[in-house]
Amino acid sequence: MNKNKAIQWLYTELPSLERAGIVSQDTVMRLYEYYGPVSIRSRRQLTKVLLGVLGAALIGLGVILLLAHNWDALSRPTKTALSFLPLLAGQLAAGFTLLRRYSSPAWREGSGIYLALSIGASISLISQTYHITGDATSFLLTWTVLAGPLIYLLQSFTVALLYLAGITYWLGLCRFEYGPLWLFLPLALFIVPYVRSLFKENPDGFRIRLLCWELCIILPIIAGLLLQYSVPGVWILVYSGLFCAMLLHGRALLRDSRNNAFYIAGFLGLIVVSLALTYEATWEAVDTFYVEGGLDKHPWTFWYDCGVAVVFLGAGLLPAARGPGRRDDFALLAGAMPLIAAACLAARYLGVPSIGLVAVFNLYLLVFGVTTLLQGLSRDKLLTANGGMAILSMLIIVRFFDANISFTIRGMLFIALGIAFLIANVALMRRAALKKEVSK
Amino acid sequence: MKRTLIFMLFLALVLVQWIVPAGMILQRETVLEQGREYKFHVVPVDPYDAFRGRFVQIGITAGPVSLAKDEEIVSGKSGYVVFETDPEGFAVVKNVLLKRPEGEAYLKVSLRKERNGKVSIIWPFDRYYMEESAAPVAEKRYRERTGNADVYILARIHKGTGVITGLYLDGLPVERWIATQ
Repeated sequence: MNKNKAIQWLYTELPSLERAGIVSQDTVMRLYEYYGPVSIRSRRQLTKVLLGVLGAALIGLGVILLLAHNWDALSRPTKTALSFLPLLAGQLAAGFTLLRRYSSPAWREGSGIYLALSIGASISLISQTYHITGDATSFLLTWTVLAGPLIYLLQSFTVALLYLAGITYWLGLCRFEYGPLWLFLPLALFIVPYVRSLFKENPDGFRIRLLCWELCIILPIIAGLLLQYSVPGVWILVYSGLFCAMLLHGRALLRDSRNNAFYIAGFLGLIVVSLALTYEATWEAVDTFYVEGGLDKHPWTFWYDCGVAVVFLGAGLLPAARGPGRRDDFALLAGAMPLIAAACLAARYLGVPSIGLVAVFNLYLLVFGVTTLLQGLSRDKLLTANGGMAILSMLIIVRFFDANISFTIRGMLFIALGIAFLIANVALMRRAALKKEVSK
Repeated sequence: MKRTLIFMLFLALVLVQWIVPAGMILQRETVLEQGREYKFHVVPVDPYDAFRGRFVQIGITAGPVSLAKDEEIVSGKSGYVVFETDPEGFAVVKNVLLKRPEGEAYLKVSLRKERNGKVSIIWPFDRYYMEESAAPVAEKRYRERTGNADVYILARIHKGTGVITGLYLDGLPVERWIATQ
C-alpha cells in the first residue's frame, strides 16, 4: 500500500478507534500533527491532467504537420513569420498558466508540453524555409536546451520525460555525427534536482514510478553510447556496474519491490549480463574487440573508457559497500558480480582460457540462484524466492541449448543438478518439520 | 515573491526562445543579401522526414579531395572550402583548408578522413524543401528521364554559411519544371 493511501486509511479509522477508547483524543491529535494533511488526488483530477496533456500535444503536433506541408503559395517572409506562431501561442499559454493557473497540474502539464513541442516546430519550420541542412545533432540540442527550463518553471513532469528522451537521442546522434559528447554531462545533471524533488515529495508517487521506468530504459542505452570501445571488454564492467547499482540502490531507496522499476530492471539486467558471460564466445570476443574500432581512435579514448568503467563500477560497488546492517546474502552476491566480472576480465587479459571464466560464471549464477531462493523462502518473500527460481531456470535453459557442450556431459550435469535439488528439498522439509516440533 | 521571480525567469526564457530562431533567420538573410552566388551539380533522391515536410534530398557530385596543405585531420573536424568556376559556370573545389581563409568567399563544411590521405566533404547542402505533393512528383519525373536531366542548385555563400536559393532542372526552377513535364 502506498504511504498516502495508508495515512488516508488511518484517518478514516481514527474516529472509531477513539470512540472504542483504544486511543486517546490527545493521541489522535498528535497523529494528525505528525502525518499532516493527505493530498487526495482524485481519479477525476488525473483524467483532467491526462486529457490536458493529450489535447495540447495533439494540437501541437497537428500545427507542425500543417505547416510542414510547406505551402508554395506562401512567400518566404510569410513562412518565416508563420514559424513563430506556434511558439507565440505556446508562450502565451505558459505565461497565462504561470500567472493565473499555477495550481492546476492540467494547465501546467498541458501548456508545458505544448510550448516544448512548439519550440521544435519553430526551428524545423525555419530550417524548411531556408533549406537548412539536416544537422539533427544541433537541432535537437537547441530544442532540449530551450525547452529544459520549463521543467522547473512550470514544474512540468511531461516535459521532464520528453527532455530525458531528447538528451538520450541527442547522445545517440552525437556518437555517429562526431558531436560534442562532453555536453551530455551538464545536460544530464540539469534534471537531477527535479528528480530529487519528485522523490522527496512522494517516493511512492505515480510520477516518480513512471520516471524510474523511463530511466531504466534509457540508462543502459546511455551507458552503451558513452563508451568509445577502446578498452577490450569494457562493456562487461560498465553493464555489471550499472545493473548492480540499479538493483541495490533501487532496493535500498524504494521499499516496495513489486513496483520498483530499478530493482526489477537491475535484477534482470544483472542476470542477462551474467548469462552472457557463461558463453565462451563472449570471452573470446574480448580479444578481437580491440581491432574492430581500430581506425580513427584517439589515444584519449582509452583513458576515457577506463574512466567511464570506474564510474559505473563505483556506482555498483558503492551501495554494496554500505554498512553491514542485517546480514543480506542476496545483496552481497549481487554486489559481488561486478567484482567477479572485473577479476575475470583481468584474468582474460592475462591469458586465462575462456572455459575457466565460463565455469566461474556458471558457478556464480548457481550460487546466486540458490541463495536468492533460500533467502526468499526463509523470509517468506515470494517475489525473492521466485527471483531465485528464475535465475536457476534461465541458467538451466541456456545450458540445455548450449551446443558447445556434448550431450553426455550435459546429461550428467543435469542429473547431478537434479539430485542436488532433491537433496536440498528433502533437507528443507526436514528442517521445517524439526522447527514445527520445536515450536510445539 | 517567489512567483514573481519565476515569472521573470520565464520572461527571460521567452526572450531566448525568440533570439535563437531569429538569429538563424538573420544569419541566412545576411547570406542571401551579401553572399556570392555559385552553381553546384547535384543528384536528387527523395526520403520522407515527417518533421520537416517533404524535401528533395540532394547530393553534390564531388569526390574525395586532397587538403591544400599536408595536414593530419580527424573525422568530424571542420574545414573551409574555397571555390573557382569552371568554363560552364559551375563551382569546383579550389582548395580545402583547415583555417579560415581571408579575402575569399568560403564555405564551412565537415570533413571525413578517407584511407588514401584524402578527405570527403560533408556538404551543408543536402536537402531542398518543396511543397509536400511536389517533391515526389519531381523525383518521379526525374527518374523517368533516367537521370539525364541537367540538375543543379544555386546557392549563396557568405562567411562560411551557404543558403540554397533554388533547385534547377534543364535551366528551370524545379517548381516550374514540374509543370512543363
